[in-house]
Amino acid sequence: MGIAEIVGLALRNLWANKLRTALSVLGIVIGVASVITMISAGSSAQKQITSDISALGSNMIMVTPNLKPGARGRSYEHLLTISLAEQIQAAAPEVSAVSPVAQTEGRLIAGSSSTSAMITGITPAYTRIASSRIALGRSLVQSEVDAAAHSMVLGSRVASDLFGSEDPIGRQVVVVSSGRRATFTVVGMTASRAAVFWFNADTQVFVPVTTLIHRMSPIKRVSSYFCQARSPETTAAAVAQVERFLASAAGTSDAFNVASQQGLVDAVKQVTATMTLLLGTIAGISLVVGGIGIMNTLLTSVAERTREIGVRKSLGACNRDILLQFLSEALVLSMLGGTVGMLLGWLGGAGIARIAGWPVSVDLNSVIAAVSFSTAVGLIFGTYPAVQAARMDPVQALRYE
Amino acid sequence: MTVVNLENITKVYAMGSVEVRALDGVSLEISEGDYVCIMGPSGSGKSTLMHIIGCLDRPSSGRYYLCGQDVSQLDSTELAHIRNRRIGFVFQQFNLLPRETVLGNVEIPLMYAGVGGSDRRRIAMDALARVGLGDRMHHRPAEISGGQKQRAAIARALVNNPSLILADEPTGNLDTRTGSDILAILDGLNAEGCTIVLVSHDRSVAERARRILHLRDGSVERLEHLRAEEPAERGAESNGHS
Ligand SMILES: Nc1ncnc2c1ncn2[C@@H]1O[C@H](COP(=O)(O)OP(=O)(O)OP(=O)(O)O)[C@@H](O)[C@H]1O
Ligand SMILES: [Mg+2]
Repeated sequence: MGIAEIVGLALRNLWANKLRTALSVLGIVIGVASVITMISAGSSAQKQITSDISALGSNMIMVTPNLKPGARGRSYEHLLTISLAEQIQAAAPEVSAVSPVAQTEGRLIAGSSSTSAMITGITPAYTRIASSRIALGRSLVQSEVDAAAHSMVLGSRVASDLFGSEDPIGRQVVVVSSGRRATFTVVGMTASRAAVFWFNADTQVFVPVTTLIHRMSPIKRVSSYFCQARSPETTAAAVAQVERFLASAAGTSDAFNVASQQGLVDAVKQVTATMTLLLGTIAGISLVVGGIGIMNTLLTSVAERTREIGVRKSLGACNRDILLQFLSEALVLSMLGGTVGMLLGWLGGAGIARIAGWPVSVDLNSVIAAVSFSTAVGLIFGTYPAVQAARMDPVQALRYE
Repeated sequence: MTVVNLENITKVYAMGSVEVRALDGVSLEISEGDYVCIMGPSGSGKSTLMHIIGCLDRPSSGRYYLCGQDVSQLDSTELAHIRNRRIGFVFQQFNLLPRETVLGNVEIPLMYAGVGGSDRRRIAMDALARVGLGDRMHHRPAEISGGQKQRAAIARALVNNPSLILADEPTGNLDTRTGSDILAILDGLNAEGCTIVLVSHDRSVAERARRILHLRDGSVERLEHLRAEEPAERGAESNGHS
C-alpha cells in the first residue's frame, strides 16, 4: 500500500467525521496559534524596545547614583557635582563626552497657558550624547552654561502645550519650581521622538545645568551623568574606566550604577527571552493537551472501527497497514491543526504588533518549531491508538458487536 | 492437488480456570475444486475451524498445510499475505465497510495486494459483473439489499483469485429465495473450479456440497460423501453426476 493511498484513506475517514475532526484538531490549532502568537509578539516587542533604546542616544553610558535611603547612600551626595562630569571625562580616555544631568519637576507658564514638565539641566554635550535633534532654533551653548543663563529648549510636547502652533522661539516662559520663580527665554525646540520607558524627551524642557543647580533646585545636586563612549566597540572598556574612577572617588563600587545602552539592550533581550520561553512553554503545554485530544479521538475511532479492522485484516491487511492507517490519521489531524494554527498564529502575532505599534516580526523559528512540534505530538499521541488497532486479534475484532 | 490439510487440530480457549476445547483433534483434507459443507450444532466449533482454515487464527496444536505450506510457522504478516492472496471470506453479516461504495469494498483486497489505479478498478468491476452486480457498484452498502450485499461480499472474496473461498453461514441473514440465489452463485463458482468451504445449519443447503463434515463438541463426528469426488481442475464438468 502506497503512502498516497494511506493518506487518502485517512483523509476520507476524517472527512466522514467532519465535526469530530474539527473538534479534535482544535486543541492543536489553539496550541500552535498561541505558540506563534506569543513568540512573535515577544520578538516584536523586543525589536521595538531595542530600537527605542538605540534611539536614546549613541554609545551612551548612564551614571546614576545609588540613592538608597539611609546614611550610606547619603554620604555620596557631595560627589554629585557638575565638576564630577569633567573628572569622569579626564579619568576615562574611552569616554568622548560627559554631560551632567539635573532634573526637577516644575510648572511652566507662558501668557495664559501653563503646563507641568520635567526641567532638565544639561550641558551642550548632552545634545550629541542623547542624539537629540533640534526642530526649531538652536540648542544650548557652552557660554550659556558658563553664565548660568536663563535660556531654554522646549520639548515638542511642551512647546505645543504652551504655544500651540505658534513659533515659540524668543518667547518668555515663567518656571515655578519648589517655590522659586524664574523667567526663561526660549531658544529652541527639539524634534519629537518616541518615549522609552519613563524617558520622554517631548515632555521635558532643557536649561543650562548651572542655571538649574544654582538658581532653581533646592537640592543643588546633579541627578545623573550621561557619557558617550568613543565607539560601540569600546563601550565596555569605557564602562570599566568610568566604574573604576567612580569606585575610587566614592571609596566603594556600589555608590553608582553605570549602565551602557548596550547593557540595557542585553538586559531587555534577556528579559524578553525569558518571557518568550515562559509563554512558549505554556503554549507548548496547550499543544500537549491538543495531542491528548487527538489521542482521545483516535482511541474512540479505533474502538468504533474494531469491526472494520477485523474485516480489513481478513481481507489481507497486515499489522503495518492498519498501524499506518491510524497513524496517518493522527498525522493528518496534527498537521492540519498545525497549519491552521500557524495561519492563525501569524495573524495573531501580526495583529498584536499592529495594535501595539511594534514592528511586525513573525518568528520563522517559532513557526518551524510549532509545526514540527505539533507533528511530533501527533506521532507520539497517535502511536498508542494505532498500535492498539494494529495488534487487534482479527477473530476478536470480527466478533466485535 | 491438496489445498487444505489439517492434522489433528485443536483450539483451546482458557476462560479463567476453565478450558474450552473449541476444536479437539480435527483432521481434514480438502483438494482443489472440492466443495465441503461444515455442519453441527451451535458452539460445535464450525466458525473456529473456518477461522483456522482461513489463517485468521492459529491452532493451539496440530499442523495445518495450506497448498503444501506449513502455515503454523508463519508470522502475522505472512498470514495476512496468505489471507490476501489465497483466501476469500464470505461472512453471515456481509461485513462490507459502510463508508466505501460497493466497488470500493471490492477493491480493498486488491489494494492490500498492491494493485493500483485503473487495473484495480477494472478487476473489481469484472468481479462484480461475475456476481451480477455490475449496475450497483457505485452505491453504498446501506443502499442495497441483503442479497446484493452478499453478492458484493462474494465479489470481494473472489477478486484476488483465491485458492479457497470460505463462507460462514452466507445465507444466515437472507430469506430462502435470496439465499438460494447466493448458493447458486457459489455452486457456479465451484463449477468453474473454485474450492469452497461452507458452514450451514441447513441440510438442504449442505446437500449442494460434495461432502459434509459433521462437527460435534469440537470433534469430527462424521465425514459424509454426497457425490463422487471429481477434481474440477479443468473447470466445469460436474454435469451428469448425481
Ligand atoms: N474467544 C473465545 N474465548 C472463549 N471461548 C470461545 C471463544 N471463541 C469461541 N469460543 C467457544 O468455542 C466454541 C466454538 O465456537 P464457534 O464460534 O466456533 O461455534 P460455531 O459452531 O460457529 O457456533 P454457531 O453455529 O453458533 O456459530 C464455543 O463454545 C465458544 O463459546
Ligand atoms: Mg459460527
